[in-house]
Formats: sequence, C-alpha cells, structure tokens
Amino acid sequence: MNVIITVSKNGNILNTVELASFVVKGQSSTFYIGRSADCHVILDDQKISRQQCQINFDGKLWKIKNLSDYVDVTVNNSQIYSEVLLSSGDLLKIDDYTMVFEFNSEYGDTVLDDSSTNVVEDSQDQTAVVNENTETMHENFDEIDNGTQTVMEENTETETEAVEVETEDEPDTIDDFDQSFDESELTENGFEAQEEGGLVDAEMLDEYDDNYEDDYAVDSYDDDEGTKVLSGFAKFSLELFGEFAPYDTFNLEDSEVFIGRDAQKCKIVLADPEVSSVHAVLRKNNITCTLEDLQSGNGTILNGKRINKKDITNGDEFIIGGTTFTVRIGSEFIDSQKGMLMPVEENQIMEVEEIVEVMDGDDEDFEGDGSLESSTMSKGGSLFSKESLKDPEKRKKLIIYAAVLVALWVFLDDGESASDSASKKKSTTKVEKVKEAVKAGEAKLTPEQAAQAESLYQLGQAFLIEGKYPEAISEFEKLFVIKKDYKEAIQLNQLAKEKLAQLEKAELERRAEEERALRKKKVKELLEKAEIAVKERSVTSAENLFVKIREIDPDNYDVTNLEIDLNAWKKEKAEKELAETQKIAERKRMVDSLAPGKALFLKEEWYRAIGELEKFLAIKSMDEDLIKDGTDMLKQAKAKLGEVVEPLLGKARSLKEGEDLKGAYNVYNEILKYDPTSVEALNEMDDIKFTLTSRAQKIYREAIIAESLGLFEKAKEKFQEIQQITPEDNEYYIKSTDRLRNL
Amino acid sequence: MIEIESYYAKTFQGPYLNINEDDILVDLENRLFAVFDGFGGGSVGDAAVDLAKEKIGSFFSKVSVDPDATMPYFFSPNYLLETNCLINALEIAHAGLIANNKNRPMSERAGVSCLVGIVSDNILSLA
Repeated sequence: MNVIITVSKNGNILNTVELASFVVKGQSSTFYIGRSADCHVILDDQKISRQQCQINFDGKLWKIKNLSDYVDVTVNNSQIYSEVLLSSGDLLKIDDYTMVFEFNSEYGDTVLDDSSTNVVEDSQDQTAVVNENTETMHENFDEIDNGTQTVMEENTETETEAVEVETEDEPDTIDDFDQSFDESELTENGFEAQEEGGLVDAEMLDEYDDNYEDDYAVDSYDDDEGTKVLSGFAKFSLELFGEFAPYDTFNLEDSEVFIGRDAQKCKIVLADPEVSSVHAVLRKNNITCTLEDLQSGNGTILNGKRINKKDITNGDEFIIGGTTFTVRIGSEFIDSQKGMLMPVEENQIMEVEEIVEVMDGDDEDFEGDGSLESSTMSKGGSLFSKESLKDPEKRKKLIIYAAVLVALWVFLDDGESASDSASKKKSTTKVEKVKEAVKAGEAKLTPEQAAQAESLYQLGQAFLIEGKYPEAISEFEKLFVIKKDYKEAIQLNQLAKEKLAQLEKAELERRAEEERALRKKKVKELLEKAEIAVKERSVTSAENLFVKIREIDPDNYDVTNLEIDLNAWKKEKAEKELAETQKIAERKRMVDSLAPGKALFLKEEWYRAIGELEKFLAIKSMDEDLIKDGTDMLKQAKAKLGEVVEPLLGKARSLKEGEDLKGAYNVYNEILKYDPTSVEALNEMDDIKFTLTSRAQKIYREAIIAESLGLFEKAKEKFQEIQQITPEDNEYYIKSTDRLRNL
Repeated sequence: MIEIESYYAKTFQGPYLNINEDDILVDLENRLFAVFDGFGGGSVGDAAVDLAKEKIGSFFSKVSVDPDATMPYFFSPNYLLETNCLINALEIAHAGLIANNKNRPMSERAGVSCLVGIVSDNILSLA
C-alpha cells in the first residue's frame, strides 16, 4: 500500500510523508498532524496545535478528526466537525497548509516485517522526518510485538550489519570490497576510520542516519548472522596502569563492563579506596563505546576532564582512582583482512612522496652525470637510425663520428690521467712554495723586529688590560705591519675592538641619558612655569609653555593634566561670562519694561503711569528691587492722582449742590482728564448731561416756537439761556449757537 | 524589567443600571491589566464581561505555564510572545462572545469593549 501525504504551504511543497510503512493490513493505526515533533506530519507553525488532526486507519478506511477547537480544518474545502472519511486525492487544509492525501488501496502486499525501511522523497526536512518515522516505527513495533523488539539504535545497527554481511560475503579483493561500499559515504568513512587504527566515533552513526536510504533492502540480510559478524566489528581494549590495576590489558567483549571496587558487581575490580563500589561503566555497541560515571565519589576523569558520560575514542585516557586506562580500538575485521590489504603504515603518504623524491633525485643525477653522454646518445640515435644506415654519405659520417668518439675516449682517458697527475704535482709544489714563503717570512723576522713585535704585543696587551682600547688597537695594527699573526694578537685586537665598540655604545647611551636628563630638567622647569601660569590663569603664557614642553617631550602627561585644568577653567570662565551677560540682558529687559511706567511717572502723568506700572507688576519673575520701585511709584502715582482728583471732586460736588450743573460738568470733565476711569465723575457727568439735555430740550422747543411766531427777541433769550445752562459739548448748545447766528 | 510601582483600578456602576457591567482584570503574575466595559443590558452585559475576562485570563495563564502553546489565531515571530498571546487572547474572547450570541434573540445579545495591556520587560503591549 502506498499512502502519501504531500504538505505544501503557499503553493510550495514542503515535504512528502509516506505512511505506508506504519500500516498493517487489517490493523488499526493512528497518525497525527500537528506542530509537535511527535507528529507524523509536522507543521511547524505556532498557529497549529501540537496535535491538530488525528488520522485513523481502521484496517480498511481512513478517517480524519480535528482535535483542536480553534483552528479550522477543511477537507475538500468543507469544515470538519467530527470524524470524516478520507478518500484518495482529498485536499486537507489547516491554516495556511495544504495537504494532499493519496493512497492506493492495495494494502495487501505489504507486511510489517518488510516495512522497516522508509521512503522519504523530496523532503526538505529529511532527517527530521526520518527520525520521526523511525520513532513511530519503533512504537508500532512495540505495539505489534512480533518478536523482534527493535529500537531505533538497534535498527541502525542491523542496517550496518547488513552492510557488513555484504562485505564479508566477498572479501576476496580490495576492489571488491570497495565496490560493495561504493554507494554509501558511510561505509567509506567507516573504512577509513578502520584504516586509521579503527578509530570509530558517533559521527558515523549520525552520518549513517543521513545516508539511510532504501539501498539496503532489509531482506538482504539475516538478523542473527549479522549480529555475529558485528560482534567482531571493532575491538575495544583497555590498557591499565596503576598500583591497583588487576590487568595490563583488558579486552572489552561484553556490551557493558562495570568498573569499581565491588568484586561481585564489577568486571574490572580496583581495590582502590578512592574508587566507588560501582564507579563507572563502559557500554559498547558495534561502533562506539561510551564511558559513563555512575555518580562516583571521586569522579571519572577523561582526558583531564571530569565527565559523566562520553563516547571514548582510540587513544583516550581516563583515570579512575589511581588507575589510568588507555583506550585502544582496533578492528578484528581489519586484522583478518590484513593479509589481503596492502600494508598501510600511518605515514604511508609520506613514504610515497619520499619514493617520488628519490626517483626525481636519481633522474637528476643521471641527467647531471650523463648529460653529455645522453645528448650524444640521442644525437647518435638519430644517426643510428636505419635510414642513416641506408644513406652512404651518412654512413660515412657515422663511421667518422664513431672513430672520432673512440679516439676521443681513448685520448680523454689518457689525457685525464696525465693532466690529473700534472695538476697534482703543480699543487703540491705550490703548497710547498707557500710553506717555504711562510717559513721565509717567519725567518725574515730579525731579532730587532722580533723584539719590536714582542714589545708592541706586550704594549697592546697592557693597553688592553688597562682598558685603553684605541691605543691597544693602534699597537696591534703596528704589530700587524711587522707580522700578521703574532701570538694572540689578532684575537686580542678583536677583543680590543669589541670592547671599544662597547665603550662607544656605552658612551652614546650615557650621552643620550644626559640629553634625556637635560630635557627632563628643562621640561620640569617649563612645567613649573606652566603650573604657575595655570595657577595665575594667564592663558596665553601657559599655552606657549605647553607648546614648548610638547616640542621637547611630545607625550608629557603633566602637560595634558595642566591643559585639562586650564581648559576646565577657561570653560568655567566662559560659562560664567555667559551667565553674567545673560543676567545683564535679563536685568536690562526688566528695567526696560519698567521704563515706560517710570517715564510717565516722572512726567507726572499719573494715570498712565499707574497703568504702565500695573502692567509691569503683572509681569512675573522680576527682580525684587524693580518690583519695589514699581510698587513705590505706583503708590506715589496713585497718591498724586488722588491729590489732584480729590479737590476737583470736592469742587464738582459743591458746584452740583449749588445747582451749577454746567460748572460741575466741566469740573468732572477735568477730573476725567486726570483719571479717565473715575467712576464718580463719569456717573455724575452722565446724570448732569441727562438733566441738562432734558432742560435744554424744553427751552429749545420754546425758543423754536417763539421764533416761528416771530418773537425773535424771546427766542434769542431762550437760545442764550440754553447756552448758559448747557456745557459746550452738548448738542443743544451747538444747535442754539447755530440759531443765534441766524437770528 | 520595569517595576510596577503601583496600580489602581476601580469601576463605577453609574446612576442608571441595576448592575455593574464593567470590570477589571489585574494579573500581576503575567503583568496583565485589563478594563472591560460590557453592554447589552441587565444580566447579559455583565455575563459577557465575565466570559471575556475568563477567556483572556485563562489563555494567559495557559501560556504562562506552557510558552509553546498554540496561538490559534495569529502568530508573528516579529512580536513578543506576550503580544502574540494578547492578540490571540482577544481573538479567543471575541470568538467566545460570538459563539455565545449566536443563538440568542437580538435583545439578549451582549458585547464587551475592553482595553488590555501587558507589560513584558520594557514593552507595554496594548490591545
């Protein structure tokens, strides 16, 4: 049976999941779709429930159920509420995911025993899916319990075993061996690992997982046989070292070996008080060996680190109590194949290279030695060709060449020996001559010269001892004129020169030191000056000094510090100045705002002064003295205004009482000039105006009537009366004035 | 993490209703704060508020014990877990209310307006 679920999102196929391997004819199984890694179809989206859908197979029919309340699941675009029957080609939709469910119903041809391999095609997340499948496989196996209780690891083991069987079947040649392994990287790796001394680690297992494809058909091996072969796949042994070590070498044959003090429980018994009764365990499968500390008191130290569990590899060292274990991993298989394999040493590649080098060397030698020969040979070769033999001219040439060669050879032989002996003789005579010359030179030294030389030598030595090296050197130079190698003169001269050089160097250093000291002193002086300048805050001089100091000593810390001080002060000063100017500006502004009030006050325009002063006092955050001035002025202005207005008011009141309404009106008017807001004046003026207007109106009417009746005198009187009683700004005053003019 | 110095919450029944349709939710453990204003009238609005409050609160407590919980309505990796959770909590409450109102006559349908905030680290998410 073939059951494939193709998962896609936004039109992109994410993966394809094959469920057939979990399905047994006539048996029910359950599959899950969801976010959880335990699901058969994983939808990695937070919006999907961990177990979103349940697909049930009851041995015949496929049904789907939505397990989540929140996310809608549709089958062929209709939402599912309860269990829904699935048929091949159905379209499942969960959130953004679309799944196509396909199966062919010939589920009869597969039985579980054959189905432990999973086909995973076009899967982006192959590993994950494989793992997941394997896990489920494991579950299914458990459920069905058909005798082969297989766990994932064992599964992989058996797979490896299968490979092993294949290789064991035809171990005749290396070629065959390679061919049988060609298809998978894993086996190549494995093989290499074995080559390198059987070093096998967990990586192999992982890689195996990755390469886990259906190439290794399960029916190609038999479980039992495979296991047998595998037990010898890798040979683990331990080399023990220590006081309490019971063996020198221990071969790990069991899958679990306990190490500890307790003889009943442990295989490797260490009678060491530092070792726990059951201290650690070594667990071995076909390819890896794991060391696990069993919560021992003193711990297990693997390669210098205290571990609880770790895979061990070839050459690892672990310490339990006082005993050191060295891990050796070999392979019996490889051992057994040794006869057929090319002997491979660890430095095999190196050797090959060496051979190549040697060959090269030989070639070179050959070419070097016999270059002439070979070249002539090759030339000869061209002459020796059959064609040349046919040509009579060439044949002649050839014969001549041959003759010449033979002659040359003969001559060379003789000549060489002759010239050799001659040159030898020559050289010997030369040597003798030289020797004679030397002897003659020595002999030439007259006793005077010898005495001179001796004295020079003594002098030089004395100078040298005294430390007068230049003198010593000059003496030696003189000596050399007489004789080149008098006693140890050359060595002494050398010594003198060296000493002189040392002295010069020391002198130079001393001078540099002096200079430095001088500079330091200067800097110090300058610094002191600068400090004073900084203290006195004379910026320009201080800065000049800084520049000077910097010229002498570019990285002087004190200067920097002083400069920082100075700069800080400068900054502070600038800030202060700024604050000052701000303050002044503020003050000016305040004074300015007081100014108009003050000016009016001084002009004795009290009322306007009061207005301005009040405006000023309304401004917030003024200086206190200004506020005081302002209030004072305000008070004064008010008092002055009162002084002016009060008598006028009194006058106006009395005039009003005396029925001199016009006079009162005029006085009130005057008051208003001083105090335009005087309530009394305004009210009284209104009253007076009203009274006077009504009276004037009355008189005016009478006057008009009199005028119309021709009583012009009377009218004139009336108009004059109006003029008398009304103030100048009254309308009737103006009207009557007009009338009077016309009369 | 910003310390919550103090908080204060109060609802007022108002002069016209016989029952308080407003509610508050303070979950200091999740640093969740919410105010609810129910509508719909007597014994319906307050039930809606209770429902919304319960849905939101329970979703948050669920996520707080299981950060890997399903976010059924919305999930964006650009947002904090808390923010995603907040959006989903409101969606869940919304769905719950709609389901609740579905089979009722119009006069008995109720709604809730709410403002939920959650403080996570130094981010306040509001919805």
